Amino acid sequence: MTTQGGSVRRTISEPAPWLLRVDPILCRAHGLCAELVPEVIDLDEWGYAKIHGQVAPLVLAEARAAVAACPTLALRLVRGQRSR
Amino acid sequence: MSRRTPSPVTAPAPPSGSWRLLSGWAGSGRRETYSEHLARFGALPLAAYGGAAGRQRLVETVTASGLRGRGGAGFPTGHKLAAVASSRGRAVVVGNGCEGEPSSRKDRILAEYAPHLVVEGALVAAHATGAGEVHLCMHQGAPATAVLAEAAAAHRSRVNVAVVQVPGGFVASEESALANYLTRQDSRPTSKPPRVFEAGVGGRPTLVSNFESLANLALIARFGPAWFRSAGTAESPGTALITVDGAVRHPGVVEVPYGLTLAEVMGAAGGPTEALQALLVGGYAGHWVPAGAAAAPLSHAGLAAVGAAVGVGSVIALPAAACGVVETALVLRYLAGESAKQCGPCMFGLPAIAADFAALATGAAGRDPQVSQRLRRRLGEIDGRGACAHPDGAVRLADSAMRTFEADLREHLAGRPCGYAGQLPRLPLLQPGNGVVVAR
Repeated sequence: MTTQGGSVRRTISEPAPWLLRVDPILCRAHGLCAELVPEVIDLDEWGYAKIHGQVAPLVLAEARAAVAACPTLALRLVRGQRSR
Repeated sequence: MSRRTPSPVTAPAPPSGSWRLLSGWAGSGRRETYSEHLARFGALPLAAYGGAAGRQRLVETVTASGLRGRGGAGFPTGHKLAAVASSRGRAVVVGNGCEGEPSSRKDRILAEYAPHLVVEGALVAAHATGAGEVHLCMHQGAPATAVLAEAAAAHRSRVNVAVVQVPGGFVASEESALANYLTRQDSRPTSKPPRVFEAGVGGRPTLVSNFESLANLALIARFGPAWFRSAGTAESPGTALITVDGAVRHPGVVEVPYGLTLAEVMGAAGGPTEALQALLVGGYAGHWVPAGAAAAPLSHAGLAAVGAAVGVGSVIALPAAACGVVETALVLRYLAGESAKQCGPCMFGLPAIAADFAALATGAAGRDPQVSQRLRRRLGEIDGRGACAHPDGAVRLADSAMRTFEADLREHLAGRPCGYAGQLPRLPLLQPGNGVVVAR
């Protein structure tokens, strides 16, 4: 941190937030992920995973569990700015 | 002056006016031979871009020209070249002339009437990216493949240029589907990342570029960015090949500078044959706009201002005596059938929105008050959730139809479909015998 004109400014950027990414080709609508981390994943009307928002630190463990539980390995936990 | 220095006086002047890519055809009324092509445009000056510095300068020249891709997305070609050139590994160039979009005919016209520009453009791209191989792709059975192969054979280059026939279908010409086909004969799109510029054909950095984009490269390498920018607008420079169809006097492909109004572009195809209701702009995965939007300039910014996009550069005029709701329902059914059926939101979502729209079109929705809300929710739910942009295209079309034909939709919802709902569709290629069932 540096002080500039009395204000504190970050010089070391924080790492990008954790995001869950679903590979839409691999996803087969098993739906386990939405059970494990409903804060980040819900299911569309056909049962396919829909990701909304970032993975908050509080649910990081659940997100990891969802990645591990996916039967088709369609979920990935990455650092980034954008989810799809 | 040394005798060996080529005199600039003998170099042909760049094409003037709005015929550039098709100036050979416009000048002679037929496809020109390779020697006629060289007499018209001069030799491709790749030697002037020698070495690593020369290649870098070539990429910068293309970037300065402002050329934007002509396959649909309008991405700056110079940036794409730079991304491929800076990725690790020997690059591959793929020319995309598949034209899976049934409303567009420009790429097959280009391959048929200006094949040497397409081949040279691919050689320019290969030079700029350091690629050793070029694949020029067209759909199986496209008549211009033979013309293109003959043209490719006339060019002496260390780069191997192959003309490839890939399976038909809407999504088979998506960039990752082409790379997938050239790698393992599977013409379905793949998940991103990786994008093809990082890992495409055989895992190598791959430039996938539309035939029209490539043909422009052949002219930019010769005549430079300032000449290129002498037609078109600042943000959409150059000319565009536009397929004009529907209720116009001379349906076909025209070459026009970007920035003409949609009305002027239709005028280049003889003008409307009857009163118009709406225009379908940018392809079947494009946008409907009301006929009043014909005053908008055909450019990336001009069309964005009326809620549309250049897309594949087609403009289809829908007459007032037609039902936009029915036409849209049929196109949505076509698009649903063209899904590669890999991603759930596309394989289930597209038939679902097509069925919703069909219910609106037939008036059956009058008995189901939920259909309009359900359709809106589904459009939001499907958008952006496929491995490729195919579902997004269907969402765009449906969404723009709901805005453009809003008054009409209300009547359909009230169980009063317009008088034109029962007639045969007016959009080209949706007619019986063209692969789409029209019975409803």
